[in-house]
Amino acid sequence: MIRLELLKQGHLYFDGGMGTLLQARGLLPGQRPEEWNLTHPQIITGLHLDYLKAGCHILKTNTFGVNELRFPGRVEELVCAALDRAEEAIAQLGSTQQPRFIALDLGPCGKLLKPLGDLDFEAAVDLFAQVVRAGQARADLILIETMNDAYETKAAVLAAKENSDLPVFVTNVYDEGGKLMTGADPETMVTLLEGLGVDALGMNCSLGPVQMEALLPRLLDVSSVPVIVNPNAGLPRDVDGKTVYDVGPDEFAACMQRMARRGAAILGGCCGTTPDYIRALIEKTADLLPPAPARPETSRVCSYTHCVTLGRDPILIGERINPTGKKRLKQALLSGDIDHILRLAAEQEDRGVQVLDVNVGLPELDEPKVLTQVMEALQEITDLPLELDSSDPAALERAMRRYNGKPLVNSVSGKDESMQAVFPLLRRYGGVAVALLLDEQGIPETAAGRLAIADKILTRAAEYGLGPSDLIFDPLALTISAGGDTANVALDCVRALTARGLRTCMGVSNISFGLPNREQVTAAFFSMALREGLSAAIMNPLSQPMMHVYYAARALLGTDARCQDYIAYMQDQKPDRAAPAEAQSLSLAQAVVRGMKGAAAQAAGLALEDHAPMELVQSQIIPALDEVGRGFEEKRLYLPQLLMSAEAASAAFELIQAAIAKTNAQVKKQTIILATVKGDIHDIGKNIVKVLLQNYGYQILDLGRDVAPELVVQTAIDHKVRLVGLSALMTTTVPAMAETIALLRERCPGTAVMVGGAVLTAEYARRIGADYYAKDAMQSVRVAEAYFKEDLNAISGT
Amino acid sequence: MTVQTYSLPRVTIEAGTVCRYLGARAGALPPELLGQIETICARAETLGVWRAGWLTLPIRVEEACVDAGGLIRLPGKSLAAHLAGCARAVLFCATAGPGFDRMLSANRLQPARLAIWDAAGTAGIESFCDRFCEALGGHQRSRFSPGYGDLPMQSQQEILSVLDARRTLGVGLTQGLLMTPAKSVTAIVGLEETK
Repeated sequence: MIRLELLKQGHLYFDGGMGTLLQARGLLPGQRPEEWNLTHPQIITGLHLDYLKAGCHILKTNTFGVNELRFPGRVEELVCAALDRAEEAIAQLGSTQQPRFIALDLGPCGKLLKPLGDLDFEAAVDLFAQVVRAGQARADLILIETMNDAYETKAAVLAAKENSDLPVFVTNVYDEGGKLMTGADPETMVTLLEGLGVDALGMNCSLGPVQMEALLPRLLDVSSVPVIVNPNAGLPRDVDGKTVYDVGPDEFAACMQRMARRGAAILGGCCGTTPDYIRALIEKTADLLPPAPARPETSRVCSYTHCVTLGRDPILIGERINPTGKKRLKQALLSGDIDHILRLAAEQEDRGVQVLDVNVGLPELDEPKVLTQVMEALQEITDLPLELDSSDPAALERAMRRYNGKPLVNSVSGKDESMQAVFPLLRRYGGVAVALLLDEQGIPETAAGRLAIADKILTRAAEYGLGPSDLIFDPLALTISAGGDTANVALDCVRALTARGLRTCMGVSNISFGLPNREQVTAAFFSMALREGLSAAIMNPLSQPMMHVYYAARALLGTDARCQDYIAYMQDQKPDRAAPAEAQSLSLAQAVVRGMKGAAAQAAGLALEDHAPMELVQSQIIPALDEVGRGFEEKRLYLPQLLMSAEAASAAFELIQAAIAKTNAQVKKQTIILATVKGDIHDIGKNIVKVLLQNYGYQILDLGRDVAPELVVQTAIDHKVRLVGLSALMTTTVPAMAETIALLRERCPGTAVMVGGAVLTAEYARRIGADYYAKDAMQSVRVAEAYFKEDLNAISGT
Repeated sequence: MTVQTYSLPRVTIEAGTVCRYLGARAGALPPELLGQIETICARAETLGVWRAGWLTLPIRVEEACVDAGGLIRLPGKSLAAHLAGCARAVLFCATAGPGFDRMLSANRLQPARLAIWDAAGTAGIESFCDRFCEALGGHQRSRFSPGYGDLPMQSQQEILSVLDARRTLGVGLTQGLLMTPAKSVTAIVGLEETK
């Protein structure tokens, strides 16, 4: 096993490229280098030996592409052969002064993870775990390299950590702009990887040393573990059928020397580098000592693209995804209406929050399952970091494991039981926990009492290897309406904790509970807390007084340079002069016809004052959509116009649904299942159809994409659904559609099927056994309307 | 034989093209809607991380198959007919990267924006392929992709593998043979020998 204490004696050196050298020895494009562990063992061993002779400490096994997907049934064989080759090379070198190590090399698994691709996160963990188990006993470390996606990187790290005790090194592939293919920047990867407890991290491949030199400071500035730099030898060119890289060994070594001086601790090469490059690199840097890593005391959380720093500049955490006291959200959660939750997220993101709190705690729900589902749905539509909010450690664990990034975790407290449950999760998956200053005895009345709990929490956290940057303390804002000195106590705590360099957070709205005009009290309290150093507030960003205070306070406290954010915010507050006055006077139907979202919502709000919600749907929305739909069918209007009207209708529908939730009325609606079939991950068409059908008052059970036939059938049975809509984009996925229809016929004979999608035609639809073919979204509405009227003759098509 | 890469910081995406993909005539749309389409086109031009990986290979055209460099056999009569007379071809994969996939997810509740972004992504990758082929130079036959004629979709797998596209471009395939990122293209372009 490799020990990082070695860095006190000098840099550690990786070997260089393998693939390019093999190509020079006859490996053709498309052929797999890993096969050569078995077919050309002398060549592989020889290459390893050349690198050892050049002076490298760490050999990467020739296992980059080995996994069960690419080499079914052969993972162990290939990993063992690769380890044999590396061990042979070390044996052939004989004893030297230098320690030599073998890194079990894990490259990307070759598939994108959901939601961008079709590989499930746990399936990816399993693929990597198999390789780790096959090689860990004979390796000295695990190197996860050339990763261009944060989520896949997390899967690989978990697999490494859960199946071995070896040190884990990780290098990612950045482009020149400093982004992974799926969007993460260096600071984000450091945040994610440190949270997962890796031993060293850095970058490899794609860029040459010069481009990496520009990115290096971004890693060094935030990383508290050693940084690895394994660049390419510049860019490849084809010269007379031979691959030539544009940076030679000397230039490479000179650049690496500068990076070593800056603080890169572990150095080596990637594509295009050869033993000559590594030899030159070592010569140039042998007499340098890597500086001890700076240990920046910052606290960060991240999504899959960016991180948010918790500290002097306060941040906002949107509180609205929490069913406590919210009928509409409660109803949405119970009925599986994820779209409502997504709208709550989008609305808060538009107002400028940096983090979204996600709480789905309802006694009727399977919280571990639902929290993870909602979290994953949110991560599809927003790249804001999330705060996973639950009192159920099982719910936290499941969500933290699958979260794409490093989350805020709400919460841990000074209770033993809570700390025992939450601290191991932070250690395993990474996260910054909100630490509530209460314990078994309740909430102390004095600031001193609460601060003592903070000390207890810090001490216990240290036992789990967690430090102050893994925690953000919540002194608890309790309502002032019950009497007592609660506001002052909370503010005193914020001041004292800030003075100690700790971070603080509060659910500020609680302070005004039970008072009239609560917002004013909350905003005043928020302003005071910001002055005392509050790092984050869990709050309602739809409250204008709160947002005013936030921007004004940042300008006053000097965290908003030249008041830029304040000025930009206030410019956004000006009434929209672009909105024509006539929009004010449009009826709901007119607004929908013209596709004017804001006007439709406004008209719906007014109309709801003296109309029953469902009446509005029947008398305004449906006739308006019908009018637009006819225009589309008669080719007087185009698809974008139809869709604008659908968006306007949706905006009105949100208000109508909220009104329905308030009256507790049970609305009997026809239910339709929509799904994109197994193997098909494109759901644009299905999503458009869904919005239109919802506008016509149908309840949609949206099963998403890549849906197994069994799930469609089971849902149809469970909910007694009479109409199923299936979508497929490609000829390759139409067989899955036929299979789904066949299974429905067998088990739900009374259920009808309509199909649509780019490659389908009426004829094709009939051949695979569908009842109806909808050539576009409007046609799907016509099908549904006619079907539920049981006026089947009215349907054209199949 | 090296897979070479080509990239552009932005491509041109014409609102008129996007309207055509949406089945609409730009002139017939209300100005606000056209404005929205133009705004999205402008953002889409730089949302993509436009990249291609390519290999020039000698080809042998058989009756119902094209053999490229002994590395890959592309079956079917249509491609064979299309490349008849060519001695070399460029095999390439081009991608916009995952930005459009994210954008389509983010706009899933707004069907108009969803459809416009989708069309803009398609227009973008086509435009990028045009620029890439221009950069290759020489006299070319038109691009031919798996799924055209009787060249099966399964050929995508082999093309991506020869180009090492997962590693060099981040492009992969799902089990249903859909490319990820979605706005990606694989194709072969026949080169006419110039005298």
